[in-house]
Amino acid sequence: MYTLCPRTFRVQKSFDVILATSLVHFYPPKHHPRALPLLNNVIKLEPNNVQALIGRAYVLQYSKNWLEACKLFHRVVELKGVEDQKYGLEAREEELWCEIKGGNGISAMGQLSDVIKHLDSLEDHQHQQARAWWRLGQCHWDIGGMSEHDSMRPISFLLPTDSDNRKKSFECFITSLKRSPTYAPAFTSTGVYYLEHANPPDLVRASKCFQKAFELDPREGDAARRLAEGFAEDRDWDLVEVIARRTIEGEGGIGGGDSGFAGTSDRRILPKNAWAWKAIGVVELVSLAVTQQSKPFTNALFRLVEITPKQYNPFKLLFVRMKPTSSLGYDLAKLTLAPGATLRL
Amino acid sequence: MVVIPGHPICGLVRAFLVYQGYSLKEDDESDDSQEAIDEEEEDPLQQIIVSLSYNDVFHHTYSFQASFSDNQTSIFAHRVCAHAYLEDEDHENSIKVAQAGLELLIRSETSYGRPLVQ
Repeated sequence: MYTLCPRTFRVQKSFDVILATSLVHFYPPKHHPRALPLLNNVIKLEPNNVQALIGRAYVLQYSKNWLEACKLFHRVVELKGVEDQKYGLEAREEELWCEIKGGNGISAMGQLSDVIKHLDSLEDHQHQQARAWWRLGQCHWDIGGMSEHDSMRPISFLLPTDSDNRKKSFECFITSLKRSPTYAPAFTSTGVYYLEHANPPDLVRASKCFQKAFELDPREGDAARRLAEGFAEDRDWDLVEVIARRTIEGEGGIGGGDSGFAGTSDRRILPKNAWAWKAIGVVELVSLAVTQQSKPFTNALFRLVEITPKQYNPFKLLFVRMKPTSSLGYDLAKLTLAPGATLRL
Repeated sequence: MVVIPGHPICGLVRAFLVYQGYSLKEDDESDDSQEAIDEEEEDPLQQIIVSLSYNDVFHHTYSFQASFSDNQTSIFAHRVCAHAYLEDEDHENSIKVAQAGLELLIRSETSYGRPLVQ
């Protein structure tokens, strides 16, 4: 192994762990392809390195590999114990979250309640408390959304009704906001409740919730998309553009937030919110300030073609056939904004 | 800090300990009161960054074209700074400093005359 200078190896490992951990959390998941080899290398040399295990678990979590992520978080819990406030408790919460997202919501919900009790007893953990309460709310929400075709049907008579679960989830979201009034996902979820499940739907409150969520965190893509769709229906293109641009900035822009990082990956430009690029393209068309060579427009179309080729095949055809002197861009604008057409971003 | 009180790295260690929440008052009993006030009132992270500037790390971190001699660089300072940025969830700067630290480390390895063998 490191025969010449083992202490230098430890320094390198320390830098690798710091670098990889930061890459995992910096505009996730754009820098994960670069973080993963660093994490794997550290784990290979030091299998019980907690920071590296957590980092790798988060990478798996972002790729929705719930089972493997759950295993790694569980290993951290075994190593550190739930009593460890820095890593153990966080890992336990994430382990249960992976179980919930992996389809074991009902069994994990009780254990998540235990974690919440533990968190609520701690001071200076408002963000974690809010996140845990929001996750409990999401768990109730998902159970409430189970259809009759779900695998839970045989025991459905034992479970609360959909309406009860939605109400419980709403209570959890409100508790989350009481724990931390700056926790953006809880605002988004509360807004969705007001919009889709309150009786009657409260559009004003829902809009306020989405606006607050987006103000607090531009990464709240669902809130941003709902706001942008509302403004697009009102033909308020300036606001659509503001929201779309802020959403793109919130996910790190085209460069993934890197300004001079070495060895960056091509995946850093992979957007999470394709609708925002589409919205900017449409706004550019509507403003009639666009030419066929207009960079934002062509970039937006290019992004659409690259990200979801199947969904936006018509766009691809237009983009490929577009000539610098043609008027296809304006034709596209006319098609998009035809009377009676509904713009879904 | 007692052994090398005037060295720039001493200021870095002091700032880092304050940033981590350790009180240095017992060690500073003989110091004047102004220093104690500084310790309480100034932002510890800012102190770390200022201390780093004395080690020329700050210059290196924010200007990758800068070249500096071994006397003006410190791997330890890079480690402390990267760790502090990570704790502060300033991931962009944490990445930059960690990368700069790794570059420094490679240069140190080169100075040994052969690369480390894994």
